[in-house]
Amino acid sequence: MGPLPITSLTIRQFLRGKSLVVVAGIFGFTVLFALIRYLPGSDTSLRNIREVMGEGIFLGIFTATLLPLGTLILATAAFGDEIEDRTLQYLTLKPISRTRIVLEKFIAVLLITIPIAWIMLLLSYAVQCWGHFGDTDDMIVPMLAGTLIGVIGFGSLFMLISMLIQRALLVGIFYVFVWETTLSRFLSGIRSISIRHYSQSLFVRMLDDRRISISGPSAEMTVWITIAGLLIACMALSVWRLRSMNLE
Amino acid sequence: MPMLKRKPKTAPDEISSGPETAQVAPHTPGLSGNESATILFEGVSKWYGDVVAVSDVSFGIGTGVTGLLGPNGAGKSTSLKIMAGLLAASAGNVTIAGEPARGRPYAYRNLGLVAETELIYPFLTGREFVQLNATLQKVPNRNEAVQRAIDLVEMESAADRRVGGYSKGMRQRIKVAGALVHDPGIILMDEPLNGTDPVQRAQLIRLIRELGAMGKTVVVSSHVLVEVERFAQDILVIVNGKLAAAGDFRAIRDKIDSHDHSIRLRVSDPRLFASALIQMPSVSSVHIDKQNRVIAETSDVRTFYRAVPRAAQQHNVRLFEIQAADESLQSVFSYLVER
Repeated sequence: MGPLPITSLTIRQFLRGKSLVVVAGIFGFTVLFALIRYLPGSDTSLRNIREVMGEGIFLGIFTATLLPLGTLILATAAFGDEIEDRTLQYLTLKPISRTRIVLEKFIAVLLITIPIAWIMLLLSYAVQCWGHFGDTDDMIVPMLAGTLIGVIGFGSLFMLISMLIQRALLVGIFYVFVWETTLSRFLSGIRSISIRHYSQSLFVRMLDDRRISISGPSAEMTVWITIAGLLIACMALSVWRLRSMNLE
Repeated sequence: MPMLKRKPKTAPDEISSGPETAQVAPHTPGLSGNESATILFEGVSKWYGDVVAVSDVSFGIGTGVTGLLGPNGAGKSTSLKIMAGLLAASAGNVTIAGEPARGRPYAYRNLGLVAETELIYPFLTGREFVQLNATLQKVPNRNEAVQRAIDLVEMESAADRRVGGYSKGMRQRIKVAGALVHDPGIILMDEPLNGTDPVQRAQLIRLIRELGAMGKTVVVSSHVLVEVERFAQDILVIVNGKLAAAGDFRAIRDKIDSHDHSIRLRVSDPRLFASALIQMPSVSSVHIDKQNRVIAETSDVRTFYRAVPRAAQQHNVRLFEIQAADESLQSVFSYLVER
């Protein structure tokens, strides 16, 4: 079982289920969008390739919809499946702190979600920027960093939601499409309290390309502090919830 | 947790039963006079909205095997979950080894629960499941402890197969191994014999008795009266969320036996056998139901059970089935509550 037995157990839970395939499929949509470049009549100039990868795929599709959706599935499954299957008591009836249970579960979410997201993103980058790697490789690290921030933010929030309500997946989907995808895109007040904004802010700040930007990006430090605060708050609430939860 | 000495068994006239008997026996129901409780329920209630699952229940449980008896839906599982700290009581206090049961994870070093849930991580092998329990319990000499627990439930031959392919009885036994791997002093088992075949059942019953004899506090819930008789000397009877009776099994059984029982028999010649049964002194009435089964009322069920095969032989009637008509035992339990 190793030094993190609950993380190992949760990863095995993820690997055996269909959710992993679904998540890979969701993140894999970016590759399909990248393939558009190869349709007849497409603009294959370097400028357009960079803009499609940065604005179209990463900012427009990936961070706004696909990243929260994919993270939602695994983050809600981490505790949700155990609550539904009534197996959580095998973990809670042990002399280990509730904080450790929550942290190990969250680590499992990160260890599975981040590699899948990164692989699919790099795959779409390879497809989109094929032949122009030398002129576009400055986008890679900002994209990976933005993804990391997104997974941490969405993962901690959705894991907490799954411990508070039964239909976490439905609520999460509603949140993703209504809040993150729609409202935060058009209402500036909401933008600063959406995780998408911080994920995108880190990307555009690190990339520092005037042609690829968002409205009013937050500073890098603000991004890290905000996401760290969100993470701590969600973890603390999850631990509290686990302590007070009645396990039928 | 300090190990308590085995308690002297309660004499039949010391039976405590519900609120009425509490006046007769001023001590905590379930405990003999000077015995201290490993598990203590004090005025415990649990309700879900308007539904009361457990209602103002008080009892104590010492070392040895205690049967938690009651019909399905009586509140046994809820009581066990409250004991284990999985559920918060709506009212009252629950202590295990003198400390609140809930919100103290370190208390689980000395507690093992065989839960009612059938589900175990199906992708783990039986051995991995027991190893997981041992790891989370921080058991020293883990491999030895895991092997010992697997041997205890006689699961060695299937230990390296995935739990998802186990029969219900095998899942029950591997759950028991998982609950015992850290050698706890307090063991709670929720219907552990469910789904087991007769051989598995005999093994588990022997194990439960051995655990009790070792001085551990073992609480086993069941809705089958004759099952509890095989492993528990002390029982707590819970009906409709209330404590109906507590004390020595034999004394309570005698009380139950003196109540009229309805026994259903399926025989080759119902009319002939009905007329034979009504001749028995222990039988107060006999009738034949719509499915052509003989229903006999008796106030001496043990004599009745002994006499039936002889009567069938004498009258050359084939006996296919004999069982309590009140399978849930609800009427017997109700008798305990209402008397």
